[in-house]
Amino acid sequence: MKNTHAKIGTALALALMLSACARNNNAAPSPTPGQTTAAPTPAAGVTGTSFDNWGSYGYTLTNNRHVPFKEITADNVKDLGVIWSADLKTLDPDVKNGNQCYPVVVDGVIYVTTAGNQVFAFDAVTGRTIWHWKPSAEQAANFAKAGIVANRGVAVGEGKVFMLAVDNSLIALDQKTGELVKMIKLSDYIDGVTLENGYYETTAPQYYKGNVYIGSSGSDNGVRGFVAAFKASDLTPAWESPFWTVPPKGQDWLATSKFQGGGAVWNPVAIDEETGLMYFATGNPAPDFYGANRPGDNPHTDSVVAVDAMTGKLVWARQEVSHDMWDYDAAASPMIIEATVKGEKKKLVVEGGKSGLWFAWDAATGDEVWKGVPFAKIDHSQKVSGGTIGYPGVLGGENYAPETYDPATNYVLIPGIEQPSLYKSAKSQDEAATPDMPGAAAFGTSTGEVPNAETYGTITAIDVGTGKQAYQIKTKDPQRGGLTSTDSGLAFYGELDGKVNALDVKTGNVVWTFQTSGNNVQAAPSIFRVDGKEYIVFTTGGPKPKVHVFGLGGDKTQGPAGTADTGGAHSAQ
Amino acid sequence: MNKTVRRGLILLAIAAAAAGFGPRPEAGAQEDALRGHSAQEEAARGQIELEQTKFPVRAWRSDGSHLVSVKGRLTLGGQPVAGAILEAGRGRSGIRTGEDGSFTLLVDRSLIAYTPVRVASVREATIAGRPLGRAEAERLRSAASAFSVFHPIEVTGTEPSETEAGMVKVHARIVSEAGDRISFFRVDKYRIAGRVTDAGGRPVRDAVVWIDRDGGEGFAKSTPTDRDGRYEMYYWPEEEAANLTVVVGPRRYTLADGKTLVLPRHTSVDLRIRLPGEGTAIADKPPALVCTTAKGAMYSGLLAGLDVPPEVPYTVTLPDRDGRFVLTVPKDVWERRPAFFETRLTKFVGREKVLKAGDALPVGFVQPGDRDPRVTASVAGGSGGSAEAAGRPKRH
Repeated sequence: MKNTHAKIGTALALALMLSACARNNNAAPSPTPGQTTAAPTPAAGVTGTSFDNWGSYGYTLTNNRHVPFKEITADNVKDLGVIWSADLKTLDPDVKNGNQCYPVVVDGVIYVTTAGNQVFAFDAVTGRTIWHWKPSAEQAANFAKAGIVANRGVAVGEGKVFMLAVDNSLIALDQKTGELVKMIKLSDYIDGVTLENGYYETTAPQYYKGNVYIGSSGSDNGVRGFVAAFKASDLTPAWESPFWTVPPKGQDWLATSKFQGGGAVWNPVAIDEETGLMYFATGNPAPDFYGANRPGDNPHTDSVVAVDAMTGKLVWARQEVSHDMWDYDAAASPMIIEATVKGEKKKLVVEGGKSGLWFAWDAATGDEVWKGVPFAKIDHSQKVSGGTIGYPGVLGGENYAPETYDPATNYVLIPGIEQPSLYKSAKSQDEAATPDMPGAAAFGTSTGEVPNAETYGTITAIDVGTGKQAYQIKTKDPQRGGLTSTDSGLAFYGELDGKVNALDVKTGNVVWTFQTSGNNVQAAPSIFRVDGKEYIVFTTGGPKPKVHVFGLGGDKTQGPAGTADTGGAHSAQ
Repeated sequence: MNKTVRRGLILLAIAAAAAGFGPRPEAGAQEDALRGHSAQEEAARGQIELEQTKFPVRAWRSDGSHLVSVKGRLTLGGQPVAGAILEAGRGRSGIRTGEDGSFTLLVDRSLIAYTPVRVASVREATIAGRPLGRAEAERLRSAASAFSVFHPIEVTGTEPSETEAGMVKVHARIVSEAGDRISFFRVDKYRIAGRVTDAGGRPVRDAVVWIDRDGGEGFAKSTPTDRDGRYEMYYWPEEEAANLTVVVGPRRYTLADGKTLVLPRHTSVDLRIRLPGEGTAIADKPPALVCTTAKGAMYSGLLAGLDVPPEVPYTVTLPDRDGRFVLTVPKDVWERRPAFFETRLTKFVGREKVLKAGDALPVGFVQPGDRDPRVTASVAGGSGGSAEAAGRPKRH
């Protein structure tokens, strides 16, 4: 496969040389969503000439997941159908089960990653595979050491596509050909970031001003959380030091701990391009459920942190849950929104945690605007033999599934999970130090399922102006993917049984539902335009991971009823 | 470098040696880098000066006050060099020198390290506004410095060994600031290891052994078995029921009849598994499953040792909670006042008995690496060496 791509690459290069004067590739800034690229010279074979991109994980670096498109409305949404879909395992049998990819769409190309870290570049309109990259068999054999093999997507910038592989490598591919430009081991630059130490990567990187920003997974394995920046040009460090969220083992609040502190940043960062401030959400302190040897608040865990994007210097940090005993990560990426609060326009950073509480802070100062607005059942009072029944459970609240902000209604929509867990406390640190090894999850002590507990999902609309719930709807299964909204007042989301839906943002009414041929929508859709036509791309997981692109007038044949696969408590990390 | 220049430098070096300047033969390479070069060499070479090169550890604080900005200057023949890029270890971005040759770099004082500082690029370097000539660039590129973050060490007493002739026992202490705790070398995890074979006793390759707790979350997964069927994993046992699974390609083998495995606490184990010829149920007794206690454990944490060649036979004990440790070292080696080194080590020790504070590690157990800081110990309550403890670089 690699040879074929090399040939295509050469042909492209020849074709483009003639039009090189018309477009200066290297000077192109990172793709701006909403920017209609007027007359670019698209790669030979890409359909369309004008593009409204979904340029990064959350649409723009503010992670609002809101597009200014109006073509698809509540009135015509029933005309949505499948324009094309792709079965990833048919394209490559080494693709692993499951998919949590948030597609990135740039200039007519949809970039999708798979479990097992393959990357596909599809023609956005026809679904033709333009290029495909996969790790070598040797590298892929190592992936088994990590507990989870999911991947949430790529970043695109400077003519390259960036992805983190689960074995803690950072990979840069040529955007046009998919050829490997460079791969580095994070452990060569950041001390100890290896599978053996419990680190692994599922997050999508972000590209901004010549840098690629990354965090990591592994809080549950007791790793030391961090965020780091690498130069997009050569993948060498861009900061003087990684930003460590917690002390090293044996220092400060970890003085008597056997463990590293956790606080991993396992979802993509948000960046305010006007101020150069970068915001990220941090995971739980380790060990999750035994806190005696990590006294105090355990600052910077379960928090939202603001740093200077160019230096990594701390600006402010606000904690959602202090001295967490319930695994209540601030999991989902924060959003930066310009919202109206009590009649006044403000720039806020908002985040909903696994704790079931939603927060809004002043973006510049971190001053509290809305503190701990509940969107899930919160109760830890039920003691049973064996432990405590806790609401939310270890899945949350809000897991990694991201929110969306709709400026017209001034609502934030939160994807929620209602599923309690049985928390059994360890009596000593030894008991808390449970099976911990390469890539495994050491949860400190045990949590179990609550038998016969009602499990479902919610979508909650919070009115940012008042800090109160505008409404909350129930969904059949926990919300694991997240939402994306449009200027026409619709919010799109998928479910674990493979259905995709649209709801009216103002009222919460579900106005469209479609059974895809896939299972387990565990990511939110990306919405983009080619030549003015609006498309919605979803990925689905389960044993047959797929990509589905919807548009008005597409094929309305529904798939067979799918089955929800909730997976283990931490399978989504 | 052409012959004339080389001859000139040789003469300078001879002159320098005769005048008593230049590096002391017994001091280590790290000390040289930290001390800087002699006056004569300064004239010819590029020089990286740092306002401070030795940093006692300061424990991490969430406000970032363990990070300190250090000023420095890059010169060539005493003249400031602008626009050069310096490199200080692998984990950070390049540092550009300003118009007056100055630069700042950030030192993380929370973790021990020896970090060399070198000139990475002179492509855009200038002196007094003009770019460098080739010879100048060469000389600038050879500029080197380093900084060290370390725990001060003090020697609290020495005495001849009672049991070994010609050896002395050196009592020393790794010093930390009041209230700061150090994570010393201790048992960190135990090992489950063994072999997976098929029904005929032949080794099975690329099998992954899983252990997950029956009573809730938490699991351990092994490295894939090698060609001899061997695997290993490191964990902290609970002495409670665990499910055993072996995954070979698409096949999952589990214990028969919903049985569970109880792994004993505080010990490593050898777990040999023979997969069934038919079906996927592993019987929970020999010869299908044989579990015996095994010796050894994985240790992790801070250790100190002596900066001496690997063949020097000395032993060092695990530091206690207050950082106290004991070296047993040949008298003549000790009399030459070797430097210590500090390192954070994670290593399997295959001893029957669990090693605790005060127990001696085997000879040659820990060797210093390039990034481990060397530390000149001070004598407790005595004179000398205080410059090290205060972190001021020695200059000649």
